This record gives sequence, structure tokens and C-alpha cells, in this order.
Amino acid sequence: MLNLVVEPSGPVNLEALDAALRAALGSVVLGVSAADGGVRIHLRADASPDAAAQARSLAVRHDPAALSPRQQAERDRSDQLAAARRAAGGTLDPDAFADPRLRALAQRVVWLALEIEALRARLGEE
Amino acid sequence: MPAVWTQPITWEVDQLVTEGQLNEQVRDNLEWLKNPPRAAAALAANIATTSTAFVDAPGLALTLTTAGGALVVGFTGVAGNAAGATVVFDLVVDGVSQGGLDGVVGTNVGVVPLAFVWLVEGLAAGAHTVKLQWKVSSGTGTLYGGGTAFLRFKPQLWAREV
Repeated sequence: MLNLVVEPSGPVNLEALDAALRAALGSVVLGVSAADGGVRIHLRADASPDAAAQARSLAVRHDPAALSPRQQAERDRSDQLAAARRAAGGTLDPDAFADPRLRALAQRVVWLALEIEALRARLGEE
Repeated sequence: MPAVWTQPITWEVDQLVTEGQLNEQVRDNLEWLKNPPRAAAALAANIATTSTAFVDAPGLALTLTTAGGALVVGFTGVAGNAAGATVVFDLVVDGVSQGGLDGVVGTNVGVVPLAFVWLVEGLAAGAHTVKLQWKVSSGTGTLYGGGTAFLRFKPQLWAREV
């Protein structure tokens, strides 16, 4: 295994750096580690000098604000959820429904919404 | 000065016991037994990895010189990865993996306390290296050593000749 030690100038988004390295260099990348402000890039022992140089260059130019595909998907999901919450507006009023079946259904929806809010509060989510 | 272990003498009838032998056989060997070779390392900050092959866990490596006995090695820490992804730890003594393919201990259910006590036998007298290595199946594995509120633990790796 080839270990490259890089001293980044700022904070590191380890997952995003890992994703960028794998996207650029493929299976020669085994991963990255972080400790004491430093980063180690782990490459397969048969990594070429060019691959090592490219890995080092990517790490030095690393932007911690750039997200990995998984982080981006998670952020997108979170944004969609927040938008859906805003769009849902105020509380559903079961009494607004004349049909008893619809009123019962609305009561169930209100109950489920309250249960979810309680769970989110317990998890510390806003 | 650290005590030195000397192979005990098999005493014979009427054998003259000298001051030097008493000091060596009784005092020094007892001191060695009381204070055998040992080493420890602890973390004061988080470390993290995305490596899918075993790599050294920074700051958790030891060197010690033994008298030919077995080593007891211990580790304790709190580590985790996203649920469903593993983070596993292996013990490596003189470059030899003790756990094999997926190490000695690990988790795939989020952040949990992890620990092991491991007996290493068959070591010759002399200098030995003891390392903790780790890897993940995917995602980012973290060993918590002080960088995250409410997860400010102190992982420790230690070894002692027995």
C-alpha cells in the first residue's frame, strides 16, 4: 500500500475527498484517513507515480464545501422535505369534512402528524 | 533503569548462593515481574477513515522490547459509521494480522463502544511493534477521541508482556 501524507490548508470533507479521488483514479484508491489535521491518502501499492501525483493534487485543491454524491443526495432530500413541510401549511381540520369517512381519515392524518412531530422533537430536530 | 528478566537458576544441594545471584534471581526478577515491559497510546482527537483496506489507525501504535513471553494487548474506544456500513479494527503485531480478513472487532450498527483483549503468543525476545489498523465497508468510519460533543472519549491501545 502507498500512503501519501497531505497537510491541507483548512478543514477536510473526508467523504467528498474520497469520492473525488475514486472518481478520478478508480480502484487504485483504497481510501483516505484524517488525524491531527493531516490527511493520508491510501493507494494500492501498484499505483503509478502519475496517479500518486494526481491524488496529491486533488487533495491539495480539495474544497470541503463541495459535497460527495451521497452528501448531495442527502442535502437534496433534506431540502425537498423542508419544502414539503412549508407547502403543507397549517393544521388539517377534520371538522372541515362533511363525509364521515373523510373526517375519520383526516383525524388519522392529524394524529400521525402529531406522532411524527413528537418523534422529531425527541430526536432534537427542528 | 528497567528491570531485566533472567532465566531462573535450578538450584542444587549445597550450592553457594552469592549476593549477585540473589540480586539477579530474586530482586531483579521480582522487579521485572512487578514491572514487565509495557506500552500504551491514547488519542486526544477524533480520527477518521474511508479506507476499504486495513490501514494504520494514526496515533495507535506501540513498540516494546520483551523477554520472550507472551503479550496481552488491549484496546477500548467508541467508533462508528453510518448504519449498515461497517468499521472494523485489526490488531497487527510485527506486521502480522491477528484477526485476518475482517479484523478482531467492529460494528455495522452506528456508534458503539468497542474493545478487545488479545493474547499474542510465540514471540521471540526482542523489539516488537503493535499496531491498530482499521477499515470500512463504505462511508466514513470515525474513532471518537475528543472532537465531537458527548463523544469525547479516549481510545487507548496498550500491551504488556506476561
